[in-house]
Amino acid sequence: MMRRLIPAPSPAWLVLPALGFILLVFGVPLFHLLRMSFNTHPPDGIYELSWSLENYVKILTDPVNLHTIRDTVLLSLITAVVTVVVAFLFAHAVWKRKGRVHLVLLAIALCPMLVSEISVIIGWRMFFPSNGFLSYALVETGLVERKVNLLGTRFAAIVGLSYISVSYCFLTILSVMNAVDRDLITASGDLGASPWHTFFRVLVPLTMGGIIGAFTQAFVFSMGIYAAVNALGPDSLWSIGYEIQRQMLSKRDWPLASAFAVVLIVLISLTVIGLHALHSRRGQRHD
Amino acid sequence: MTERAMPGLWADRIFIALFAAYVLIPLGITALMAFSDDNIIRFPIRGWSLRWFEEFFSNRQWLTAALNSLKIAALTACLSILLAVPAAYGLSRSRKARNRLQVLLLLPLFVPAVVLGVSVAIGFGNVTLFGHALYGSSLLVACAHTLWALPLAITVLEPSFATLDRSLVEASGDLGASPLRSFLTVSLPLVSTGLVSATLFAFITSLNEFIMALFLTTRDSQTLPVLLWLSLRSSATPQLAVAAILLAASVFTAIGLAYGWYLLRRRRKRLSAPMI
Amino acid sequence: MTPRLQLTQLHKAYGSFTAVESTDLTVGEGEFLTLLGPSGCGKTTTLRLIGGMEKPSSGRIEIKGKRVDHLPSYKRDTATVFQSGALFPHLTVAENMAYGLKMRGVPSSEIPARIARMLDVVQMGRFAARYPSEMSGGQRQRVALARAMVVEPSILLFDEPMSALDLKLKLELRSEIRRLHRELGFTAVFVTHDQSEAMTLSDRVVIMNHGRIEQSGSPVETFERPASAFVYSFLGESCQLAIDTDAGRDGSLRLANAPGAGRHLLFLRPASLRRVSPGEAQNEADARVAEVEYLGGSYRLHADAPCGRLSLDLTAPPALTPGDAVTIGWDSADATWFAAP
Repeated sequence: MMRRLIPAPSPAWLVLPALGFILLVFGVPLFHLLRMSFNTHPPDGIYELSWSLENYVKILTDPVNLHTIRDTVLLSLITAVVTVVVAFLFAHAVWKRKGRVHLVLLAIALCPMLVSEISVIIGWRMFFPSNGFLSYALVETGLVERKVNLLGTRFAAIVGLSYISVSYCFLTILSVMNAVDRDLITASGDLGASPWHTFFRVLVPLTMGGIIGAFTQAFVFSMGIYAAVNALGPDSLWSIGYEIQRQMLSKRDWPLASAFAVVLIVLISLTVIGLHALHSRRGQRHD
Repeated sequence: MTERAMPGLWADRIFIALFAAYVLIPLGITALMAFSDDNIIRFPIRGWSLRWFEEFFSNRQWLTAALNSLKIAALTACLSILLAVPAAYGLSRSRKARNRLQVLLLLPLFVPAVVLGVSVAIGFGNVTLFGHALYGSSLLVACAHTLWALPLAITVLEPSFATLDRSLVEASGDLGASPLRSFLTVSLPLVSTGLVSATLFAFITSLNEFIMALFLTTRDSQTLPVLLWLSLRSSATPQLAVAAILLAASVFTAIGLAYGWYLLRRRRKRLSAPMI
Repeated sequence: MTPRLQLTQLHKAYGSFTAVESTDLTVGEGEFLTLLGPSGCGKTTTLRLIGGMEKPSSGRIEIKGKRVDHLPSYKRDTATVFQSGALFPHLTVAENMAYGLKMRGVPSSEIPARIARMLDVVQMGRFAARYPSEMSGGQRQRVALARAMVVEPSILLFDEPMSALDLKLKLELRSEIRRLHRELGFTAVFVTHDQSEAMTLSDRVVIMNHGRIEQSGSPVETFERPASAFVYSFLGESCQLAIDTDAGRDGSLRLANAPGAGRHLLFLRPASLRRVSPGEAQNEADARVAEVEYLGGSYRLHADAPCGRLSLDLTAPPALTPGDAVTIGWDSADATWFAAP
């Protein structure tokens, strides 16, 4: 009876420490970043307080910077498409199977999530160059006559990039696939649809939510990752992330680095909001 | 039955083999190269030796970096769990809080490491705590890593608390335990699997991360992945492979330990079950 | 005339478990056949073998005299009404129904008319533009029925289509299916574990157990002349007495015509048992009251005779308490004998 007299604190209050932490370490610095992007960069220092749009003008008018943004978006788009297709096909393969095979394939699919981006980079850097494993294997088996070099190509950059997000895409798609009533697949065959038809007309539409979610993930990840692009792709392939590192650490131009970071966040936010809207408009139709 | 109902079994098997190769190539090749006797990275490998391992363990810079990594990862795991447990419990008990706050708590996951690194560096660059500069300290890197580890830990823990049988907690209260005591003696043991996975996630996330760390560490506090990134072009010896494979090995060891704990617990539970 | 469906020595095993054991079955033109049995008896597996969702281990399946057991599901002329309905959630009712027609190459000019006609038949005409999530469970099941019927398959397969519905909807849909079968005259194989469903719907009931057919016949035939102890006890309520040569030697069991030597099982329906004074009935057993239950409107008396428990229904409250002696009687015509296993 005594206990009832003292109202228990609402459990929602327990979220406060975490929320406070995120506000302090994420919110406040983000605000500083935004403020920094309006400062100017003196030739003999790091930054000078001011309210100027100089950095944004520089980013959005300088052809070199525009090129960087275009490259980043384009590469992220291609990577996202490739990653989603691969993740979908593998999720489908895992979904179809049961028992031990299912578990082994699941473990394989989750492996990339556990490997550091730097290990991924190092691994592929031993695979692609002319004295790397691929070239050696191709020459040994007689498939090609002379050593080949794939390091420093867009292909290598995409391979590395998609390696980093493929597990997350896989998980998103598989969880949606697991929610699909398997009777629907049986019913489709029973009504006379060929396996291909069932795949494209039933399975793909029913997992569209997962596909859009996975695409968003892959795109957002790829936009922010620059180490793999820089270390595996060609020198002519620029990314916003690398530009931020260069301005921040080499050129000591904090204001410009901050402005690039703000542009990156805006691009990512627009994509997430756009794809989310697309998904919820689709969802209203039948869910 | 489903196999027959779906497209081309052979195409399917070839695809699985290709995907498995794709996943295993970076780690497999690195593992091979770590045992090379050569001075440079190249195939075919002409001789095998442990010389690059010896080199690694006698090199102060690499060892310091490895220790820094472990220290920061442990700190991140502690920080994330301390914040995630009350948060996940709170979210699981209040639907209103969950709907409104979950997005906010998950937001940092969608922000690239480079942006987080730069903003924390700018925001805390000049801050001192008890006379020590925060910039360059392990604590600041761990705080930055927690921005990713905390949302992950909450995501892992929240369902464990949500599926917890409420009547058990009520029974504990009914038997006279205070809410805090009920939480510590009933709720927490019941979600221990979630707790271990969340800690593991936080630890691994921090161990593997290197972009935030790149912006927030100095020469003395740099982590293993940061040192790897900085040596990538300057010293392309099999040393890189050794460091990379040790990094991966520590991740898989952590997972192995957690899984071992899980198996042990399950066996103990099964042994004690008939006695109840 | 060739039968619509013929199964010859059909066999299906999963590892060491035999789901369907060398089964022969023939279904005639326009016949409504029910596979009835407890869960795990092989009835659903048989249905899935016919539909092509499972591959037989051995044996033949012929539809209209054409061998189909090597064909995948989508190349067989069958259509299934699933337990869950299995309506595609991303398609409207009309699109769901058009699905099978398109797959079978029906010209698209004919499709709308066929859909409209079939929706009218199941009285769902107003729902053509709805999504499955916008309908009730009973309505979804009607659409599932219409989707299977609209392709006019050689055989319509039903996989316990009513087990997810509540009792009222179940009865409604049951009489609907009966009406449709009368009007459209399709050939159907219907799987259920509900005997009243089997009795009311079918031309012929096939009772399965442990992957084998126990009996096949009209509903009346199977209920009144069960071919095995399993069929007797599976269909309706039953009492069972285990009787050997020595039974009744002490006078507690008085049988008009006792079986010969060996152990036998005597089956009786509670409805054919009555409480008698000793010497009044053709067959009698002395028993002790075990329990009296009130069933709402009537009473059920459970009494233990020396070779088994007998149960019967009484309309008036019996003034009996557990342990009292009673005599229970029955007519010889109501008794069914099987050799004990």
